[in-house]
Amino acid sequence: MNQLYYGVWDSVVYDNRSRNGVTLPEGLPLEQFAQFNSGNPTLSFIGDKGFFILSPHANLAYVLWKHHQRIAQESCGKCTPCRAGSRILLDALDKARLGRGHDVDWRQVRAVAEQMCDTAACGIGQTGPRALLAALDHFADLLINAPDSSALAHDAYSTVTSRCIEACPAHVNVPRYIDYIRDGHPELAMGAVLKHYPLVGSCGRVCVRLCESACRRKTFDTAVDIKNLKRFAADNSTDSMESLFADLHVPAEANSLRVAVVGAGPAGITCAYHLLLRGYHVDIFEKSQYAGGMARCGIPTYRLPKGLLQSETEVITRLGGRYLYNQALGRDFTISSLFSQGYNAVFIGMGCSQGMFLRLPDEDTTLEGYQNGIDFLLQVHDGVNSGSMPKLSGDVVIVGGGNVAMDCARSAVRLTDGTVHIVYRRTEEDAPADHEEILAAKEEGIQFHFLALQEAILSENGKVTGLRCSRMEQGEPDASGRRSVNPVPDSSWELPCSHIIAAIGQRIDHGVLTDEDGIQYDRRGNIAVNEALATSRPGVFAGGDCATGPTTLIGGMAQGRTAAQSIHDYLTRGSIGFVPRTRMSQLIKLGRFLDDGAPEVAQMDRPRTPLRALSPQERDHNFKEVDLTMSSEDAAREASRCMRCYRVFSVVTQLPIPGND
Amino acid sequence: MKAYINGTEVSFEQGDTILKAAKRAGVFIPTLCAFEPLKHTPGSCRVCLVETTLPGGEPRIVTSCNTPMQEGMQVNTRTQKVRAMQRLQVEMIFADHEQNCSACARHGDCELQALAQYVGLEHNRFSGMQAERPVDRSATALVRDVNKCVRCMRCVEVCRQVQGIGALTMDGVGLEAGVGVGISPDWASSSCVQCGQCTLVCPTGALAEKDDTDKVLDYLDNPAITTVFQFAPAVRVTLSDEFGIPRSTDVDVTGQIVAALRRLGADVVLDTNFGADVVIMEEGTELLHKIQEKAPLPMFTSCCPGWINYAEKHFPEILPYLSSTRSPQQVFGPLAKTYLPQKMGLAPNAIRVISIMPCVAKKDEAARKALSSNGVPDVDVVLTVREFARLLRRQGIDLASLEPSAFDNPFMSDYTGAAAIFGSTGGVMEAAIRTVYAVLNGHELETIEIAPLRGMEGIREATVNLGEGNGEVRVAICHGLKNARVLVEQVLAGKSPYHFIEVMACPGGCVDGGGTCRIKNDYLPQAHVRQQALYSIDKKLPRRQSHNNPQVQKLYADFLEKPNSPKAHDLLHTHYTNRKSSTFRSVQELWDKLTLAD
Repeated sequence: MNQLYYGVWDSVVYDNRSRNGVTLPEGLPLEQFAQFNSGNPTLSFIGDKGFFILSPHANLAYVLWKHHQRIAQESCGKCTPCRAGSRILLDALDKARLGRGHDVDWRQVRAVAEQMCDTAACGIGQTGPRALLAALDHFADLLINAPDSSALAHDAYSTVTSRCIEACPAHVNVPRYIDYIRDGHPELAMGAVLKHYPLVGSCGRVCVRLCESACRRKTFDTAVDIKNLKRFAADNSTDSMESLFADLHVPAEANSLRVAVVGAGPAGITCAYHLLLRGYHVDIFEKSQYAGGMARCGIPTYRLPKGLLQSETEVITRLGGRYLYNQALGRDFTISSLFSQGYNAVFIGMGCSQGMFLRLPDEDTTLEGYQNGIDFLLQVHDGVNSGSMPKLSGDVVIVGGGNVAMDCARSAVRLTDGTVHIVYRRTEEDAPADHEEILAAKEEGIQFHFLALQEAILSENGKVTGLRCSRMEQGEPDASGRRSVNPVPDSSWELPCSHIIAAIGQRIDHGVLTDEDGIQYDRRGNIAVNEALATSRPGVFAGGDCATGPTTLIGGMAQGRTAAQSIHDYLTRGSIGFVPRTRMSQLIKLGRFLDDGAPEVAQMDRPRTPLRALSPQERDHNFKEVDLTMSSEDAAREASRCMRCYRVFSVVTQLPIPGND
Repeated sequence: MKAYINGTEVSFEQGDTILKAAKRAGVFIPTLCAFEPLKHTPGSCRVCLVETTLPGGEPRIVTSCNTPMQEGMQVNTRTQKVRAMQRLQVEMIFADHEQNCSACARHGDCELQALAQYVGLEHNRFSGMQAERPVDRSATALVRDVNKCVRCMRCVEVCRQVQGIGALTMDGVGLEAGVGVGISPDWASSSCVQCGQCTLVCPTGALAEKDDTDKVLDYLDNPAITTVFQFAPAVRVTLSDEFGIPRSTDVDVTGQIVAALRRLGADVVLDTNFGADVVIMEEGTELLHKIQEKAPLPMFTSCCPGWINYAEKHFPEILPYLSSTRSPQQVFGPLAKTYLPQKMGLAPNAIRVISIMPCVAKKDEAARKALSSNGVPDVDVVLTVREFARLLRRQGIDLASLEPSAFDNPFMSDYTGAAAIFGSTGGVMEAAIRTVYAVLNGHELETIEIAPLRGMEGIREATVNLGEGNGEVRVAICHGLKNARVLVEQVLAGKSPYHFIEVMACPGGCVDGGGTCRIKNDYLPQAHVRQQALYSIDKKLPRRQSHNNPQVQKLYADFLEKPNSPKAHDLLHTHYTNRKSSTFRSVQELWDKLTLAD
């Protein structure tokens, strides 16, 4: 097993070259770095705080050269020290790795490297050369006297990432597309996201923005408005989705192979998209009459206009894929029948389509005025399509604190003549809904009842008349840090209403898969999958809500792409391959390399550029899109708030890394 | 709040950058990319380094343009380390900067050269790293040499912030990074309207006008050619800056320009202002007809070629609303090749019309096919104010020391106050109203100066009473294309309340056109002064309405018959074409341009 041979990390020097005991970095499970992929020894790992040489076979000049190749490639070229410096350092290391280290003016190299670290504008330049500086400080002889490495057959892999990228399930290169916007290239920003998934404008409207939670700008003012920048890119890309995908020539590779996708939701569409781009024939079987899944029927049109989503889901057709509508799994086809029809692989992305009721004692789900959130949103969706909206009158109570509850409440307020209430058992801070959604709901006159627990549905003559609730109080924090809540005895009160909508969750429809399909569930009732999203049946993969439980648009799309990669590996190699990028993310997580907090140099206080939106009056009783798109000036200003907290991580391995092309 | 710069206590406000606080305290810190007039601090050059120490903290090198001043902070702008690092930074800027300085239009007027002196550059150890890229000469008026780009992004910012166009972009990465033209293959095919505002802010010679001074010298050198010069209203209040004549609201170098042109050997020295008076006769009449015939309104002015390009490339749906009257330059051109030779007994074929303009888009305008007759352009060469100054310097003529001289041509050199104010935002509108009123009422407006039309607001509007029984006209004026867009979109949405709209592409109008004098490290600092200088000229002139120009009256009596006559239409009007890009890209083309890896 590889041990730490020598290295420097965070200014601590490790030198185990002699046999006098071994020092290892504390808290870093370096043993898990020893092999990059199974059977392939890692010779070196370089990051933002230094480097680890794990084997006597590593050539210090060579591994630093590989690292700096990536730095020079990633230098955006706008800030002086990184643009010129990255090239000067690379040229020096190129000489050194060819055994000509004595031809290099190392004093000048040091000055340039320090200049980069001290004065570069972003993380690439600020942290990239630190390993080189550490090597010059502590292992200069190994670098300067490094032997010619040109005969080495080592492989290398590097990644440039940041907190926002790692936080995004799809690993979208957020700073890159933000930079394209700042540079005046919204179409390239859009292109960057299209590398990952086709629903760019949709995600730019409704994403839950894990990236923004991870944004380091928060330590100074507020996170960069990443979501709306993405929307700006989609709204201002000079080319329509239609024209972008009109005459795309996809590779002829694997063109006789056919894949069936079950469910035209975000996961299924993204999986189909990536398979189509690789030249597969893909048919999407969809139970309803339209594409988009939960993004279409679960998200009201005032947040995500149907026309926009449709233009984005149409990409599948442009790429030569087919939507087969009104095709329900378990009714019109089975997993086995897909294989007998000649499909070579199947992706299940059927979502969690069943809304849950409150499950109160003696609950009668047939009461007039009682329904669950998913069914209600579906009716609203059909209403927008057909022009005849579900009829609501009087007061409406929504139970739940998530985004579905907000969607239900904000839809209901547009339909009813009464007041809309939200009952949620925890506090506003603990509500899983987006903060902005809660604010928007309040603006629209929705009444919130936090720390309130539903007890019983009140009814008369088969009709809902009210909801009895009790008050809750906060207890001790639980393991996750969230404070528990407990009912306050004898605190019941009644909320009269004519409608109750339960928005407390949804689940997979278990009726559609039978034992013959050979698909197993996990203990939470979702389809059981492994890391590569393979199910218990060979050739069948699953992702999105049906494999994870209800999550997010971006989560579904990320899994769609992963599944496409796995299906491709399965169909071309017969086995699920190794994805170096995923492995790198694992190492970054293991080493907690992106956990450092605020940057050391203070930044100017630059609050987020306010977004324009329709006033509550303009939204009254209509489903017009509420948030407006940014102007290009605002977008550029917002984009310039990004600090590009990039970090470069690289490994050199003994043997070739699979999937590293 | 208090801090210390170089040991001296300074007070500052919350939100001040170190650079700003230092400037206020009179302490100079060299910078390149930052550009205060546009509030532009891209933080890309990284030259404005200072050493800061917070109470109890370690000294730290930071960029002063985007680091906040903090309570008790010690800032040192000149430690040995700071100086060494600033020098190294500038040396690295030069690493990939084209250094053929002697052949650069900005030689001696270059902010990068100045920067090298500020930091005391001693050597250039890294020179020659640039990725050689071809110079983009595709556009008629402008040249883009990315090898001289310092990535300050000022041009990107002015195009986006002031003009709302975004034709200029940052392209490429690493050593290949530099100013680009969006996703278009070259400048000519991009969405750029050639307004040239970018050339006013570029610190180096990366973006510049196409130099045509040699063409003019060729004509002057050729005895077989009759050179006819014209110069625009704004030239007489802007050229002065190039020769160090103090700015004032009274500056007017018309006489010196006439003298300089004579010294150069010009055959006929005339004035674009005459053309402006003719424009009012044509455009005013056109407007009256449109109102009387209840044609779709508003009518937009058409004097500004940047605006015409904008309408054609960005909003072709608006073209039917544009006046068909040519600009003063292009009204002047055909008259100088038909009417003038007839009157003066010159051979029309020998005439070359040379314009001196505050504008780069005028070069593009002169090259329009619709503005030529039988393949011969109506205007042969256009020089910007900057090029004209260069031409005079090349010929050893110092404008400031010349005795003013007067026009002597009895056909196309006289002008009224109405023409003089064409160079300012609001001027064309005011000139038009003066004449339209007189035509309708048979007498002049009582107050010649129409106050609501004047000023520097980006969009101004006014309601003008046209006299007993003639009703009112609602007019609007805008300058800067971002403002034009607002009015255009209003028209296209069917919500425009106006009859007549004046558009000038450059902020302030021609007085701050893209072809005027560059003011180092500043942008439009004297728009107001130049505007007032034009109004002063108007005030001093004996005749202040275009229809009262005796030479214009003679032109119509002897040659054109009357405004909008068939002959006037043939010579003095034009048409526009939809030039909106209709090329579609595939996603693969976008992906090929991406620099994006795992």
